[in-house]
Amino acid sequence: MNNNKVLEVKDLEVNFRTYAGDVQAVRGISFDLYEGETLAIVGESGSGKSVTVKAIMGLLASNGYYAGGEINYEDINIAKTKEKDLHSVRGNQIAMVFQDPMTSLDPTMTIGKQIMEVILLHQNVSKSEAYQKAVKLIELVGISSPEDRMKQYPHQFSGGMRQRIVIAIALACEPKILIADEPTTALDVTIQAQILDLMKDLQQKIGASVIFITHDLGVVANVADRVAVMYAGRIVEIGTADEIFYDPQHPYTWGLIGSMPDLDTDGDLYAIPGTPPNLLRPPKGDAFAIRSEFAMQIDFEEQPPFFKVSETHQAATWLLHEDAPKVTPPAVIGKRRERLKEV
Amino acid sequence: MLRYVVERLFLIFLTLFVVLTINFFLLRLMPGTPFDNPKITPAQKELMVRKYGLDDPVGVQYLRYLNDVLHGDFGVSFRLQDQPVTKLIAMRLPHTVQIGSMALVFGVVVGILLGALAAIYRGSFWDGFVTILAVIGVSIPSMVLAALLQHYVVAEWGMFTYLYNPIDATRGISVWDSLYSSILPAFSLSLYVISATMRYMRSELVEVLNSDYILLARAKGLNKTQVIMRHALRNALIPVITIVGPMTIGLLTGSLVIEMFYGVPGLSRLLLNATSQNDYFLILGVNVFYSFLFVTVILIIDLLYGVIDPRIRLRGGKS
Amino acid sequence: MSVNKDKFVLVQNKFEDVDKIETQSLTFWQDAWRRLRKNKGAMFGLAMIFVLIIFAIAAPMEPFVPNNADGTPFSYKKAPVLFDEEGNEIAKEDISFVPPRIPGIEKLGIFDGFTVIERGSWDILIGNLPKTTEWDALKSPLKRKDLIAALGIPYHPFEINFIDMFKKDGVNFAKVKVLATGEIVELPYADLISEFTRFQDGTFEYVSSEVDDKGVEMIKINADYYEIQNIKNLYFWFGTDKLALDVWTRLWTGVRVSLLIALASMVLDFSMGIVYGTVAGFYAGTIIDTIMMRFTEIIGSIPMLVFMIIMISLIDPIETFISGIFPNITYTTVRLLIIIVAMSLTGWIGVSRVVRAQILKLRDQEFILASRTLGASKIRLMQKHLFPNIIGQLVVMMTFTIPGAIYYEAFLTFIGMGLPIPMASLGVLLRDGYNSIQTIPAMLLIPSFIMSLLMLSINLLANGLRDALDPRMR
Repeated sequence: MNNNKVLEVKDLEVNFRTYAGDVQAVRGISFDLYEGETLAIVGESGSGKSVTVKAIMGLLASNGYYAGGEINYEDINIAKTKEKDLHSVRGNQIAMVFQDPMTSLDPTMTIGKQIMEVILLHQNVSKSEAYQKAVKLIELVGISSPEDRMKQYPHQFSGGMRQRIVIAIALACEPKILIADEPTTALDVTIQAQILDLMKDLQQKIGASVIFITHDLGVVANVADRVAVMYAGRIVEIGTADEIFYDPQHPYTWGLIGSMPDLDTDGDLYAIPGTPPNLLRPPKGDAFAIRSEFAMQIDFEEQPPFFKVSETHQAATWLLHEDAPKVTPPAVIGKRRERLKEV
Repeated sequence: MLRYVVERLFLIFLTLFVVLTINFFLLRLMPGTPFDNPKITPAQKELMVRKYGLDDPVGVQYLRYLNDVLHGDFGVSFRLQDQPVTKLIAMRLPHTVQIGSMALVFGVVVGILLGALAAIYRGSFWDGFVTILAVIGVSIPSMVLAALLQHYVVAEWGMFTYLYNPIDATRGISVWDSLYSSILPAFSLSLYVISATMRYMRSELVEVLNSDYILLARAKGLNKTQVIMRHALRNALIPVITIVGPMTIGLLTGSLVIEMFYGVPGLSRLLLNATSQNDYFLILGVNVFYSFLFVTVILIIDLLYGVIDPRIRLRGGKS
Repeated sequence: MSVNKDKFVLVQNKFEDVDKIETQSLTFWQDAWRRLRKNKGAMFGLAMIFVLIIFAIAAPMEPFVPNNADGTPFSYKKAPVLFDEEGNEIAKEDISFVPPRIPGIEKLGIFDGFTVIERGSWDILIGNLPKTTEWDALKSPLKRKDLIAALGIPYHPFEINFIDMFKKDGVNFAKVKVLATGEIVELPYADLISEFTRFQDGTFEYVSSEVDDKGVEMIKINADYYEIQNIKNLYFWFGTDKLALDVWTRLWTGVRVSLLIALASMVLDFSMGIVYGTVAGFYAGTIIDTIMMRFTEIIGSIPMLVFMIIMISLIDPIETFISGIFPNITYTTVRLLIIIVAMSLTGWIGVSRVVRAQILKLRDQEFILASRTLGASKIRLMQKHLFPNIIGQLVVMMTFTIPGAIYYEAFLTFIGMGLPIPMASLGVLLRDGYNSIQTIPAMLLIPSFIMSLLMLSINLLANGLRDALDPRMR
């Protein structure tokens, strides 16, 4: 993993105008993306992970707007760039793979044309060259008889194959950043594995950086170099995959990790009570406090800043403050820490 | 695919047969005879009844009619000097078609444009404005519209003509003249088409624009215009075809007011006059013809849909 | 970072509250109403409908004037009697086609009772001579000189042609051409006219005059009709029609009748359609359903006109039949009922199709399956699950049908199939108005405007309802 920063998100805030007021979907997040790495963003529905990546692509819905912060890619700040200037970036340097392959492709256009479209848009090649490239791409993502496939329509493919096509489209122009928004959630488990392998493979070939959104920790374990945990529009913890899995610090991360069963689990799974907060009027302090067993008075009053756990690991929880009482994380976490020490 | 078409054709014949039969017996329910004109003496009346075989038992008449139909003879009009029904229909049809097709083309094109605009600028002033215009368009009763157009546009502004002029070389009415005179009636007819098409197009396009594949298209780096032209429009237009069918039928069969006001010698007026005078064969003929139009247009639309939508085309044709 | 150490105390979280739903939840209808309110067009439509209905209800409760009090058939000679300023009964012919006049607004120059009329030069310059033998004698063409002498006017109307009229120093002048000599003379209008004419100086504006090939001169003027007809004490807000009935009254009566007919036929259509569609839906896939659907297709392909005409030609036999059962019912009521039924003959088909489609869709959904597993009977299923889901769509359809029905009634009247004179409905008013479009355009314009406004309002409301009840937009 290089130390070249490919993308820098600083204090990003994104709101949505609704009839009831403005919903604060992203409330000040910051992270960096380095060359060649895979960063996973995990969280519940409503945590803001999808909005974040859509904001990076500049694809917010019409009632969404950037309320603050920067998204720095190369020499532009995407949050402040005009729509028309983003066209050469989207699809070309930053590409995206979506969640539901059944609806991601235009049902009335051949997949050949759909792949060629993105090639012809960004690259200065002739139609026949684009055709050849498209054929090669189809082969690259593991679909046989690519020439025949070019003339077929999306409904003639299975879900897994459609997702491969979507990946082919995303990688057609060899982007620097690939964003995958829950790309395997809608697929069978066996297909899931294939797609993940394919993505890892292609990522290496092209040398792209990947932002991988998911709520499935099993997938995270499979693909991620680093992990950012999001809750209620903020990042609560960020670190390497190992650090997050074996040494989590934030009570929410405990809840997530703790609710994942593994071979050693016996007894009840740990479940986080309650539901995420209403982002129309976000809570003052730590948004997770009301659901946390380990909440302190200060959690309800002030947002915790990031506390450094290691060079690569930070968590935004008052529990890491020097004056905080020592708490015992749920048993499950303790066991994991033990196992890490053994390894 | 072929099997499907054959099945449908068979159903069409069956339907027409049933329609014919029901109509035949229904018409006999109508009180009176075609010859109730006070100018005809009872003696003459009896002669005419016998001449047309109307004194035979109904069952016999029915069978005779069926037999004739199978030979292509749909009977004659009592009222109109024994002219064959088929000829009367054939004479009137072109006028209805001329005005109807102008209305359809104009209406659909304008409707699609307005609907697309409303969808693209959804929620803005234009959206509301266009929608209200469309609503106004259907809220003005056609007879009022026709009367107003004739009174103001023609009389006071001197544009277009009061009445429709069919193409007639002998009277010096060229194709262009005829089309010119068709403009007002076609326009009156088209308002409904515009409104229905616009509404439908708008809702379809809004739905398309909210779909995932449009998001993907944007993620590819296409700008808004490209997204709309290359992906959104085509997907939204396909369902719009389904309403073109019923509208076509409506235009061809339901333009009575327009025909009356603009003096168009069309099918609706023919039917109306025939019906009020018990002109049995003519009524039957036109009714059956309408039913024929109805089922044929539906069939064509279904087939068209099957050809245009690749999801259906490549799965065997059955929609 | 200095923080108060006391704050670092663990708080016992009570997790019972945590699952409470945070936002206020609205019922389906509350949410729909809220969304409807935001649609300005729909709110305008709703307000207008309200206004129109108030007027319609307040209209006189005499929509049907089928017979006179003594049982004789209606003729306009027996319509309500009016009196002029001198207490004389006004002849019906004189107050037909009176232009509109509204107190207050008339000062603005509109609705002031003025209209363009055409009269022969005799009517204008001489008028109606008293009916005595002396005057009658002077009407002869040989007595022209004596006539003008008796009247004290310089020219006989048939000896001159009008060219123009204008104002000079505040006095109205007429410019005429003396036919015998060809000379053009200008003189004050007041000098030209007899004392008996209604067209006194100042009661009209000259428009034009035309002489036809027989030499008859017709003069067009814009006159105060009320003045001319000597009914200055009366106000007909929207004028009168050819039967001398007040248009304002008839208009609102007509709105009421049209609405009643539309609503009645809509209710009929939907009752039949819902029942039919529900049955077909429940038996979908079986032969019962197939037969039912084919039946609708066949009925649907027969033009409505045929049904209508058959029904209307059957009015007399039906009337005798119904009179046998309900002896007090009137001819017009029967006619009304027949029209309502005839209008509903094909509308139910579309409704039944929609209902059936909805049932098919819902039948297979899992919550129905769940209900049935729990032992719910078919009827209960219909009530609790299917119906609430369909009702939104049905309400929208119903609202859309009403303008169509209003239009249809007008259409039928226009082609002669609808209500007979002297009943009032919007269709009747339109037809009468169309026949007078040359003389008084207002007779067509006013009912057209009200009818269009009514249809527009309902359409806007229906549009808004559709958007508000559409689950996709929530």
